Amino acid sequence: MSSSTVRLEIPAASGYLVLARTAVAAMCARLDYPLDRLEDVKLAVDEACSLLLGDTDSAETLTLALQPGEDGSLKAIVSATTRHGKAPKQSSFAWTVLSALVENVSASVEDGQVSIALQASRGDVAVAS
Amino acid sequence: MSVTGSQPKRKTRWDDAARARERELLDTMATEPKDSPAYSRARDELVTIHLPLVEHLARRFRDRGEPHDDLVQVGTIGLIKAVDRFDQDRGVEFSTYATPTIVGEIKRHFRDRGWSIRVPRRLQELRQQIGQATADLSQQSGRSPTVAELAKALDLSEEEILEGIESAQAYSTLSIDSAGGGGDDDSEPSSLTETLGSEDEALEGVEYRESLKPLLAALTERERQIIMMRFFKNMTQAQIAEEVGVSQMHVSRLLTRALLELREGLADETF
Repeated sequence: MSSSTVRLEIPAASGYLVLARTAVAAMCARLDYPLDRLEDVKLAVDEACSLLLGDTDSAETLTLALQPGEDGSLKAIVSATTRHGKAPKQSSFAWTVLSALVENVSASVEDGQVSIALQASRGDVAVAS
Repeated sequence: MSVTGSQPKRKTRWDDAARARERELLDTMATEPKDSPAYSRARDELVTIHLPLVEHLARRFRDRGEPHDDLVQVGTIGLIKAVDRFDQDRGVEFSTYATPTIVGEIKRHFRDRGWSIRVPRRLQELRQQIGQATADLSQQSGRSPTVAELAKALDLSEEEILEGIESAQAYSTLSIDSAGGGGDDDSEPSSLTETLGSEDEALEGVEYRESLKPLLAALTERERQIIMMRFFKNMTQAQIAEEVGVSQMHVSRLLTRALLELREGLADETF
């Protein structure tokens, strides 16, 4: 992880998601993202967090890592130890939502810890032509 | 149509010709079958000639932290409802009947947003400023402004801009719980609001289509439209805002709210 990575650990409860959203927004602002892009990335992180929260005990924590790239890209990784230890299905609606909001979405599971990685760029949004 | 000229005064006074035309249209709606072209033409015209009333009423709520256009938009929903529900036999003027419905819809918008109650005045103003500046700057540059650009334009810190943006979202999130799945009554498609014809087409090949459909149906027309545009047609928030005719911040709020409802309904299908 590069030195500019920001890590945030919050209790697994929806009331704390505002902290994740705020952190993402501030990071996007640092990277000079246009407002609609910022809102998209924020919504994606919110969605990814909410997804994991739905399958996570409240005693657990949720981790958000924000890794800005040299090129103005941003990788946001949300992870939690979930009850089922399963990655979300790529055929799910949530996945469709995430894919529409950011350039790339991937998920992985390691020792019951599920991570969703979102890759976003400042660039001219993936607009369907 | 001779509805031109002066804005409606407090109690809308129509000239006789306009009043006669209004009655004619109401008669058409009362007698023609609902799926006939005559019916929908009469309905559309009734809505159109009363838009100045919506404008007028929306202006009463200016300076309360919501963009005028958004208020006109929700007020128009109220107007459409009034047109659909009006019963001539009640013996009241249409405008008399429509006014509380329009105002009610505008107030509900504020209430849904938890606005007048919870949001400190300072944040309301901040949000309004950001909304206006976003619109202005987007117009100038053809793209959505950055936080830095907004801060510069408004002579505020970036932190304040971020706070303003988040407050819009946070307060609308708060209000979702109290909204009780409301808004179902404007879910019927109207011929004025562009209905998204190709919904089925867009959802083709989507595995969870069958579970998604009833959830989409439970959203308001506009939420559904925005969900389809954003997630199945990959339009940007800015493009959607332009298409639907509301501010981008409003699109963002509607998306967040609609997603929350869909998410709960689809949770079982996710993992």
